[in-house]
Amino acid sequence: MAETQESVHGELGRADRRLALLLLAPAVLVLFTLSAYPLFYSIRLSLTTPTGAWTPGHFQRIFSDRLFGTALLQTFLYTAGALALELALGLLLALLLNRSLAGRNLFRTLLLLPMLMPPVVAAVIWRLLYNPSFGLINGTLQSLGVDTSGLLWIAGQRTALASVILVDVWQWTPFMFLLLLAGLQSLPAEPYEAAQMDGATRWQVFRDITWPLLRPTVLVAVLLRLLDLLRVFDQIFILTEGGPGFATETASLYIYRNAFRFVNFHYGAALSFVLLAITTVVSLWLIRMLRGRTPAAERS
Amino acid sequence: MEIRFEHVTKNYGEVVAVADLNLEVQAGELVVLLGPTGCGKTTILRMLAGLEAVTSGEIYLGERVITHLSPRARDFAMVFQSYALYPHMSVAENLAYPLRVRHWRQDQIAATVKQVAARLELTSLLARRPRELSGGERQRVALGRAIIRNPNAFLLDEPLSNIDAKLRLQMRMELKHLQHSLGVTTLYVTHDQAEALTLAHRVAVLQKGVLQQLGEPMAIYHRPANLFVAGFVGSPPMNLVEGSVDFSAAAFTARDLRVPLPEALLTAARQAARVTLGVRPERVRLARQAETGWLAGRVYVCEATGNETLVSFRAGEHRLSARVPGTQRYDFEEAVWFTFDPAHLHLFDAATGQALP
Amino acid sequence: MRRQAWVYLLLVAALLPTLLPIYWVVTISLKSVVDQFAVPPLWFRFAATGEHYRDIFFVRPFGRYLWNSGVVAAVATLLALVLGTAAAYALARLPMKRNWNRHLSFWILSTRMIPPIVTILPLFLLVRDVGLLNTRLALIVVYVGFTLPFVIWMMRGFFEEVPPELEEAALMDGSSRLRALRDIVLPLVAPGLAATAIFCLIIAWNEFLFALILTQTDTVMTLPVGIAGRVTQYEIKWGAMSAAGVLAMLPVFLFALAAQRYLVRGLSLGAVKG
Repeated sequence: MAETQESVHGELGRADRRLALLLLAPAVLVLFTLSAYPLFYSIRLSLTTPTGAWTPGHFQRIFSDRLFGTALLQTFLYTAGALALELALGLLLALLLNRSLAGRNLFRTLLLLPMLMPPVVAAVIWRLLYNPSFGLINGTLQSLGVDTSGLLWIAGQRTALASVILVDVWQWTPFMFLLLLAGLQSLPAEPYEAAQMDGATRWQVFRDITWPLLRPTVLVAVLLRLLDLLRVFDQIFILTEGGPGFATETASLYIYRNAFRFVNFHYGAALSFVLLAITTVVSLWLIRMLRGRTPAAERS
Repeated sequence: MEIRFEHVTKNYGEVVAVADLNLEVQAGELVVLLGPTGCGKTTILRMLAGLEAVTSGEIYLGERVITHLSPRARDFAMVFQSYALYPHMSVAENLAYPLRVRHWRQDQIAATVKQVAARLELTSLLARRPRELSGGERQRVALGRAIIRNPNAFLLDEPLSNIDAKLRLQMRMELKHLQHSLGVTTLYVTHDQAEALTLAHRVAVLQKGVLQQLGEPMAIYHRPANLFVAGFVGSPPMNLVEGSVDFSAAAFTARDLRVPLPEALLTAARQAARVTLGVRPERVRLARQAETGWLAGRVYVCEATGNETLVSFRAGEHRLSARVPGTQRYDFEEAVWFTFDPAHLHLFDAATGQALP
Repeated sequence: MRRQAWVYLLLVAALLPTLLPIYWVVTISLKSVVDQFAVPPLWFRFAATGEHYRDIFFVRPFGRYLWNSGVVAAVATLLALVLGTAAAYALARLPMKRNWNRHLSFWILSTRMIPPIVTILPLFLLVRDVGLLNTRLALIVVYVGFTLPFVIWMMRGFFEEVPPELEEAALMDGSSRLRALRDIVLPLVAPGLAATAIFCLIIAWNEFLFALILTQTDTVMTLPVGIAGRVTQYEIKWGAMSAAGVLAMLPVFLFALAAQRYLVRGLSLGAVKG
């Protein structure tokens, strides 16, 4: 069997490097076209008028845009509230399930369901539940004799944001729970056994062994959830469309409104960059925390 | 076919893994690359295989320069330390793969697989998956995959290290027999000096990327070129004592030790200021009573292995070992007298480590 | 074992609010309009009716929405898998100039950090200018961009789990790189490939914002957009909405159950072992 000599003079890996380029090029091209290029286009949008002249006007306008400020504030409130609750509940559930239980897998599977469905569907479900007159919540309370005239949930100015946060908690606590459970399950057994021998209480074990070892996982989970929370759109759009009034308007929603309802793409682009800047700063900070705290952490 | 390394060097950035290697493997020969972990032996093997790039120098197969050819073009067969059997293929498919890749005809492949399987006693295992096999069986499959075509050479990377001790001796013999009957040029990497001595036509001892000595096993054993080879080859290791030569007394002296030296060694010793004396444990004789010229010592530990006894004893501040017939036994802290066989003494330059003469 | 009893109690207490809303929406989809808003709420005793499901398929275009969602998700997944797996293999195995590997990987990861609203704006304009607004093709292309970083990240992890010696053995046996990839590596990462595919399907199926902006007519809309469109109208037909919601939920549940083993790895981009 005569073999053609593949003489690759210079470096043995040259053929491999060419292959690498070939395999990477299509994906990189697609990503660039759909991610990087639009960004550049957006930069131009945010700095020009509809007629094409350069202007910093859009960014200047942002400073005096009270509504955007409110939207940002509400986004932060939403993020903080949802994240805190999801982390706490998720951790609790993870700790509960991190033991050999009969039917553990069944429990885990069932607890996961909310996060699998389209956020739009989750929002539809909760709109049903939240209906002040006929929804499941108020309906059940009424039948128990509770006066629900003040419980407006997503229809009430003061209760809307909290109600919307609750929906997020319902849908995404499983996400935190899943990640934290996996983290717990990957912890080595020896430190626990040593602590047992040393006579530590359950709380001490959690505080001194579990929590420090779990921190990298927590950071990853927080980072991922934070990114999704800052850009929340789907649920709010369906639940309240930002209302009542402006009570549940978030950054993404405000940008959408400006760009597509008021057809002001330039201003919308400028606004979106502010959101991008915030998101980037937050994620870089979290990543640095992740890398700094645990140099041996498996960074994918 | 013969294989030649000429001034082959491998650098990983600042680190020199292999330094200026010049080595020739004759056609049909089995050369063992022997050395401790990190000495560069596996790197050399992988450079020959084409899995690692050469920083400088050339590798020849016969008259052809193969330094930059792909593994496929070199047509070597390699047995990896972990065997690297394809887990999703059966034994038969594993064996057939090299032939399939060369577009052999189905019936030819089937026949050859049967042949090789019979030779290595794998016939009953042909349908099994690698995970269902024992360590020894996997190794035979790996070997089978190597011999199924007629490669230019075998490259074996510590093939016996993953097998338990008892099976290892048996496989060692099988390997030697196989290589001799096939007559294929073989390069074999190991850190086990017993394997090297028993298997090789010639041994290349390496340390930190530098070739220390190249020669037949017995030459390496009886005439080590430097301190490293002397201490690495042989189990238990050679006794090594640093000291100097007293020419007026025609003897080697160290604290509490005085060993008369023959004429040849005395002359050689003149080249060095300080010397290291070496003597293999089997060349040390022990006695319970004092004899003229013998030195005194005290037993540290005595290990009887059945056919021989290994005695570790102290003489002053030195700790030495001796290998005596299995019928002799000594007690803990017992007083003994010892002497070295003058015909089997080695002398090394204490500064450079080189053997004298 | 009192401790065990407490745990079970708490778990059931957690399961109730989790599953109740899902149960409720299923019942709404099966109740007559009168029953839907009965107070006190009808938990079990109601006459089930299929009128809403009939409604959404025969009177409303939900069959079309379902089809669109399916086609877009499937094609986008296929394309993303092909492109992404190739790139992942290159990143996992092949040598590259100096730090390119690290920089590329980071850039790919960073694309996931961009809020969709930031890219959808220019994308909308670009798609409109190319004349591809309101086409399934535009949606497919955009979804490929969406899921690509994800595919690359997951598949890279799976590739890295295959011992390099296996490919080296194949090379020594006389195989070429590509052939070794096909014969040895791909069969071994097949489960990972399947899991990644399922994830992409779920992501594409659930997606809302891009579909909302890039589609405008019933012929092209996907399920989430179809549902949303109806909900924001003045008079909401809850029966139809619930039936549509159930339709949208079911495939995802099934998919996710199939890929359960890799759920954590996929969700955390491999940062957490699981």
